[in-house]
Amino acid sequence: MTRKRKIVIFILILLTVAAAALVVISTSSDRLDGFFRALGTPVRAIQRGITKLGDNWGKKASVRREYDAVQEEIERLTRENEELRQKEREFNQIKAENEELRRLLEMRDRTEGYELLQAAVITRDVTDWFNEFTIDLGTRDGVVNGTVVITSYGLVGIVYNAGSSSAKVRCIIDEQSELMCRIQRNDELLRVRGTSNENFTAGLKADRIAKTAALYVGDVIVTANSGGVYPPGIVVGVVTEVGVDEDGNRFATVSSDVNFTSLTTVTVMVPKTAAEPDNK
Amino acid sequence: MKWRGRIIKGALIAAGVVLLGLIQAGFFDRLKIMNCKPELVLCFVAILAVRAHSLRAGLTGFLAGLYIDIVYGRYVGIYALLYLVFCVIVSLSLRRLTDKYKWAGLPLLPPLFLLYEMGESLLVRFVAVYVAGGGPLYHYPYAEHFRVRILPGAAYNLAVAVLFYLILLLVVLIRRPKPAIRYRRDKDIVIDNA
Repeated sequence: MTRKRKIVIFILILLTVAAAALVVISTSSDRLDGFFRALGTPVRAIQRGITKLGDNWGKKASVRREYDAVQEEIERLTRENEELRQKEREFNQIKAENEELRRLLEMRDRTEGYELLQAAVITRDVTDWFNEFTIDLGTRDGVVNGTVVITSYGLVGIVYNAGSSSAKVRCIIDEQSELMCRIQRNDELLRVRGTSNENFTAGLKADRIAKTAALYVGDVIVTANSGGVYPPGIVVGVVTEVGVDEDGNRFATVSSDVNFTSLTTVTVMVPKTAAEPDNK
Repeated sequence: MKWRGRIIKGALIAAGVVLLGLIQAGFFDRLKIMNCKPELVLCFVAILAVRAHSLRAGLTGFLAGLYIDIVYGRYVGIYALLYLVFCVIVSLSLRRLTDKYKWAGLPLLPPLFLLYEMGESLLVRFVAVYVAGGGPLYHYPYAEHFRVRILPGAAYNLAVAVLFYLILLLVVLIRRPKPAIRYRRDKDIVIDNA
């Protein structure tokens, strides 16, 4: 083996070890997050424009193929369908209340103490392995790690890496997401976790269900106040399946009305005390 | 002059990586086939690795992967490691073949991309399980995972890589040096590329 070849092999091994060390460091601590976030900021700024371009291009392409009207109709019907389903659930659960007024009232209760900011999704997960995306709001807008992200259809996720002008959001369907929730009908606590995305099948699974708790298909799951991270009462999803695992514990599959793959705008719930722009 | 050429080449590759990353994140969410989208940056550096020395291929892969990790990834180092290993393997297995026979590298691309997808799946799942503090590596049968995720992903990447490969061949053919006269040891005059 020549000296040159030995040097090449040595450098390649060095690079491999460096990459592996980076994986270990970034998975076990967040000390380098700020440094890497700062490195990526200029590209993210350009990405914002490119993503907008991509969004516009997609829209124009669909106009050209005369699908726009059809898409709008589908969207309208989908929303209408969702509303009807929601009304049906509400009707079954609380017959006395008007559904529309109840939703308004719930929205006011849920968002009290929060500034609701609209944010555009500027980057989605390019590798499709992690259920996350980047929004165009950051610490300058009061968004910090732990800020909750929602849409009108329900809970979307939580900010886990906030930069000055952008923030990364981890969706609730991500495998590493877990939150304490309640069954809206009887206030029983349970834990909802994201499931593995290995087959593009990310979803929600509920466990730690009390043995005495009544849980049925169609039950609405909402966030609990436990932990203080998520405001209570935000819709997480609807139970679509209830089962028992090998250990005899009950679990439930929860389906969210949020379409996580096609999010373009989201609402960020910034606590009113933190909503003041950070001018530092 | 040699260094100047290298710097220009490096800058062009870096620009290509950044541009493809931007295009991938901006447009390819709308161009999914069977839920999969190609990794343009990977295809780009892999095709560059076809004609590069293993060290240069590895370094290019490492830096391109690091870029993906920093700008788009959750954990830094995963794609740096994957791209580095993949580019070195591509370089070692295809460079000499492609130098001799222009199309010989093509049949080797499918198994290489399949191998990459399997490696990516394994590493990402391993990291996810490690961060979660335990649990099964795969929740579904591996055969199903292979059919649903690995095979379509490899096929899409392969299609893009073949496209890049053809472009690279075109560039190589266009930049082919003109016949030049040079002397060999036996002092005979020979004409290269005649």
